[in-house]
Amino acid sequence: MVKEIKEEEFKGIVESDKKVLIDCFANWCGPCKMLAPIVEEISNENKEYEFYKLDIDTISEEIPKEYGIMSIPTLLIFDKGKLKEKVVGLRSKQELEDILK
Amino acid sequence: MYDIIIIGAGPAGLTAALYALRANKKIIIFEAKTFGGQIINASKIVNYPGIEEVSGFDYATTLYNQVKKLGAEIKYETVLRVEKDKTVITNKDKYKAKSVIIATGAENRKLNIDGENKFIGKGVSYCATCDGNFFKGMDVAVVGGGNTAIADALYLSDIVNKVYLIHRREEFRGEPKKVEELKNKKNVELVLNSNVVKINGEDKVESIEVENTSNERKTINVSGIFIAVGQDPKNAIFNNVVELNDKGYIISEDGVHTSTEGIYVAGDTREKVLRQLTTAVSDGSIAATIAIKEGKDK
Repeated sequence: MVKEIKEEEFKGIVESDKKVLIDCFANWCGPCKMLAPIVEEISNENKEYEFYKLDIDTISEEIPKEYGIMSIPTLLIFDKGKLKEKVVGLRSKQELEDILK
Repeated sequence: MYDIIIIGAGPAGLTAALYALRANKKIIIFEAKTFGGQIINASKIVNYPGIEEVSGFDYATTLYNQVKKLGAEIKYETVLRVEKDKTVITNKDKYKAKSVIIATGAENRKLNIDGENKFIGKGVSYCATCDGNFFKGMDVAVVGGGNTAIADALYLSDIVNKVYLIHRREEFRGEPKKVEELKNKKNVELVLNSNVVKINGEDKVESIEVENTSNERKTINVSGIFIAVGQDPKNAIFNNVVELNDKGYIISEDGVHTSTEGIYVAGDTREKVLRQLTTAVSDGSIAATIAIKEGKDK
């Protein structure tokens, strides 16, 4: 399951010692809506990562500035508090699975 | 053995599937990424007859569900090659059919310049309405001279600090009314007779280099560059079975048949006058109907 988070929760989640994926999306963005069910599917199969989503229309400019988010969908992938990968744009399930390996 | 293999699950491919399934044909659809094609990027469709307004995502999802309900088999595999005998080779397997419909669409054309691929999502964008909000108060460039580039520049001028519109010619191809509106914008600077030759930056876009027709180069500091220079098909892998024009689109005299018997084309990927949702679904329905008719004798 992909849990939606608020801006205030972001820091605590990414700075944990776990592997975390955050799907940065907006409700008006078509490619984001296409990507969402793919991330959902992977979240049900992949037990290594925790999966979250963040609506960029509900947050200030701080997170986009800090992580250089300039396009959505963007997936932020963290490992033990470190940004390991930033995936920009729509990807197939296979592509995402390969990235998470 | 399938009756029809359809390559591409955009509006053209899905419509072909709809018609073929309603005629009880055994089909399979191959899609490399996700269903829907380019239309999923459209925030609003307002020119589809009979539907006043719908988002591209909702339209694509409805069409997809409609086809799935009829029992469509969709495989997310990348087609690598099509043989003259209608064998389709994907990254996973080999499939055989009586007919093949190529409906692979088109994608945003790239400038193919230094820094472009490196900075996608880091300041390089092909969708102003998607990404514009991340550039609030900054300076950006728009590249192109058609309706999309002009609409992008107008849209961005209300969000960002300054827009440089870079166009390789003196005149714009876009609607004159919109061009006039653009010229009246105080924060839009037109950079005409010029090409972008390089995108610079450390880990995101910081500036672009522009060269005019007299070979004079200048650097413009921008945080974003929005590229709107049209679309390109991706048909190179089919050039053993279909004839392509100089831009890579599949040539079809009647808009359905290709240079190989039993291989048909539908949608944006063929040479045509108008690339719209209406013409894509029209192509899909005709291609399926002809494929069914001509496949009967086999």
